[in-house]
Amino acid sequence: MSLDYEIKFSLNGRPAVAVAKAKETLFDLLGRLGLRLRSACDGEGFCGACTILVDGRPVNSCLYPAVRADGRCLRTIEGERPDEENLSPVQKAYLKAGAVQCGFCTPGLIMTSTAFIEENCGRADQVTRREIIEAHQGHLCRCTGYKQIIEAVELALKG
Amino acid sequence: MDEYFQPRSLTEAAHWLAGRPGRMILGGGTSLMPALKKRPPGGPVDLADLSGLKELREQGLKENGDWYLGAGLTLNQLARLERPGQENNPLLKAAALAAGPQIRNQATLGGNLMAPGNTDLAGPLSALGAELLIYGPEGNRRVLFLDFLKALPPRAKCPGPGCGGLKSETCPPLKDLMPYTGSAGIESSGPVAGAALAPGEFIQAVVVPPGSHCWFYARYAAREALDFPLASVSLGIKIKNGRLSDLRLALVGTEGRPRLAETTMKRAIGLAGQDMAEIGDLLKDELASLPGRRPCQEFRHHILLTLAGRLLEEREAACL
Repeated sequence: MSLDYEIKFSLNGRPAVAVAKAKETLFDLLGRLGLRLRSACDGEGFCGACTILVDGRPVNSCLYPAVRADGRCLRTIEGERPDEENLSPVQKAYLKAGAVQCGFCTPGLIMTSTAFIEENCGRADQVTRREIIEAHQGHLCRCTGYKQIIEAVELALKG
Repeated sequence: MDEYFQPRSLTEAAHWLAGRPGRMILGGGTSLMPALKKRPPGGPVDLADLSGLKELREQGLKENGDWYLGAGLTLNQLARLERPGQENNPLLKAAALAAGPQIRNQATLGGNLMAPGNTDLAGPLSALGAELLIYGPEGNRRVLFLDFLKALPPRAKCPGPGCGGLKSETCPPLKDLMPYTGSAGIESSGPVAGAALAPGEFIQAVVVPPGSHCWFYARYAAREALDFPLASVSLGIKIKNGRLSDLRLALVGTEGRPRLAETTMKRAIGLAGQDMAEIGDLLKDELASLPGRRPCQEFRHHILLTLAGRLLEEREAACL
């Protein structure tokens, strides 16, 4: 049993209110709110599949205490599509580069790539491949061998 | 009932933590949250979230030259700190290489030191001669980091996948997590009296003493990211009049906790700049003399000597 804690936050640009438990993770809370994130996640921060942005920074939602989301801006994969018809520029780049196969890692990777590209928007032409690799080291992908993912980020950086 | 508490001051945090056994500190949560999930049903879980306390997020040089690093700084904040003349500071380099980017955005300095099985920052802090500023119901006090480590109870081992495998052989046993993570109060009866946390106490900050060493750090892990290092070497060299006047050398991988290579540190003093490679030979002798038969000991020693050799080569270009 746990006491209930009301938290208010921004979820994909919209105000949200939820009740969190003391030891609940953000992954579980967002799941209760109907966001799928990933249907599965290792729950220990190794796979990176459940990565979301908290105040613009990628974190593993399976490790993030839900109560701590109070007053913060959350972005998940569900909010990245501007409308039903279109994908975000990063999502398009992933498709174009062939960086999506089984799809397990894709939602988390898209969020990390989005944060990386936004952080480096003023120096896109100077970003090195090494920087891209380091920024995405918190993800496991068993299909692509990572090459296409790196190429997708390079594509997205070029706009 | 599980409880979540956000103290408004260090004092309030200390008194709340001391109020009932088993209350825990929520740092970044990267070790605690998954452990709580696996925890068998039992008593309530009370968490104190210290992330709102500014004293834990501060960092900077004090008047006496001490470098104050709040325990609530995230590893990424640490990794991005700039300290002129200390570009190779082992603590900052280790923070930049720990875990993966998402975890570094969340995990804290204090949490990293308390998490069982964690070998990221302990080696560098041992080499740097760091102290911990510990806050408790009676106020704060300072403890040498190495003494604090000695006061921790032995950590359980889990079956490892073998030398160079994917995981460190030391894993975080759930039963050990509670005293490490919070303030359940490890009695100060270890090898160094008073070095362990008493009820209500927690790490407020790490204090690194001033120094003018030339620093180096290298680690070995099965993968570049996400794995704890199986071995790491933190090396600090001070040269005066062309000769080694001080050596700091901390190793991770010889045993469950970091070790200062004290014999090598003593015997190397006075070496001329061009003879610095001899440190590797001294270290080899010291490692050979260590007792115990830790799994994969030969492999770990080989890695440590290789890392140390590389750092000594780097030193030629960077230090003299």
